[in-house]
Amino acid sequence: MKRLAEIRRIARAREASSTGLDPRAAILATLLYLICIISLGKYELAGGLAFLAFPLFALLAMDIPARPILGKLIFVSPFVLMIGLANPWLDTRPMLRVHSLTLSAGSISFLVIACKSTLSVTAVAILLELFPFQEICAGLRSLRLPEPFVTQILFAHRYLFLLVEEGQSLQKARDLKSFGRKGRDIRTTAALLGCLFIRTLDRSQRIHRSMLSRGFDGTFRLPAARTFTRRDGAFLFLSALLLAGFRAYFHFHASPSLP
Amino acid sequence: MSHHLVAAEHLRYRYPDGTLALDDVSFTIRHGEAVGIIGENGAGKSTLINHLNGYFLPETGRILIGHQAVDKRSRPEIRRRVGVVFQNPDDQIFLSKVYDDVAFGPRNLGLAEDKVAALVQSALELLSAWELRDRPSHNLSDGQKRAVAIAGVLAMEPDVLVMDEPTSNLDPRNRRYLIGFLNGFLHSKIIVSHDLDFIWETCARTLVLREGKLVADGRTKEILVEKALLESCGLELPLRLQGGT
Repeated sequence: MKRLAEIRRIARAREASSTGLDPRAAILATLLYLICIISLGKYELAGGLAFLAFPLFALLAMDIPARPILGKLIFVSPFVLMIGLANPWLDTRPMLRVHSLTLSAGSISFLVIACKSTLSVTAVAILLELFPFQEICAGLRSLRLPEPFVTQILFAHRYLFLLVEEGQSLQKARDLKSFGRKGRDIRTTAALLGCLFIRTLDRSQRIHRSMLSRGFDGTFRLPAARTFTRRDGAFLFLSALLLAGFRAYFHFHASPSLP
Repeated sequence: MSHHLVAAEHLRYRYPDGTLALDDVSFTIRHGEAVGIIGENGAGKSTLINHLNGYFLPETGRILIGHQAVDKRSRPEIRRRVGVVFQNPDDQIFLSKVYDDVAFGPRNLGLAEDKVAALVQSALELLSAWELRDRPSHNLSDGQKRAVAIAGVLAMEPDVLVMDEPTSNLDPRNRRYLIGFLNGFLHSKIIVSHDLDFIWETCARTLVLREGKLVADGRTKEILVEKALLESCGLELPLRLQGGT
């Protein structure tokens, strides 16, 4: 229930005027940020930590609540752990010494993976916090992203709600008829998931029918994108300049890598 | 515009599982008529509605909107002319902001944004829902959702308004409001409902379906008093005629 409320909170049409920014400028700035993060070297821990300044600034300057973003980070953390957890054991060469503590190259690369994923998720989460989902999609479309791709994103977002809603009502029905462990076993859960799939499919067909009856022809027509103002251009230019500066600094002052 | 606005001619439809849902159904609805369609569950009411805007195409027979037969080619035009409000507004409202949802249809018609804005405003105002325009669509009451779903259809300026179970989930006040709205709406209306009192108040004419067949077609105030007919179709007299039972 909490998760649905959380998704809904994000979906809530947040007034774009809270930032006054064109979503395209924010999308492009986020994209540049992601490129900078992803292109950091395998052992570039200092760079990763330095790039933390951008989301922190955005959170504080735009008064974005940190709790939902932390929730998302916790949600993705098991995947990050799975990717990098073995690194400290696979690569034991000593790399960084802080007083008496020696960090191996594997530990550093693990921390860099954790840092990169945290920053990437935070950046995208901030973007989603700042604009209604439709505005982001309208922005993506006007940035010439292929039409089927934008429509798919919109549908995925819409059908996510259905899946969660249907799942909740099924779970509620099961819980009301379950006593102790009876009714919550794996067989019932498997049947429940099958039922969930069919119900969601059913409901999506009803939605599709009502979309067709309102003239839907395969293209989601969103409100026209706003005019890209000088202010948006200035924001994008400054962001690009800062990001490029940070990235260049860590390119030329890269942490020593192992031979 | 033809005065024979909606016509079904020997309509027959069978579901892929073999169920015969509509069997030789014929009727003609003239411009401005308000027609109720009643029948027990599984009588074919929803199947009939799905034919009116071309979601289903008849196995045999045909549907005419104006003089235009509903077929694959005419479907886009038919869907503009026949607005269908489905039973569950949650299935119909799919954009996160009320304004954008109501604008969905007009935008699909390719109208300019200023024309879209005018249509959205007049549709929402007609339902006294203009103040909801910036609200998130999932945070509305059932009555408000129903109003937004109807506005979404009215914004396309249809010639015929079709409603499937419009009073389900409505409290008495919203139900009363809907009756007032429909009685002031002068285009053709086709209303499918189990709420026979609602049909009594909003529709001058009623069609009765039983097992896919049209078994009665006439004035509402003559049909809804026929206890034997209604009971043979799994229905009951409207509450107002049940004499305090």
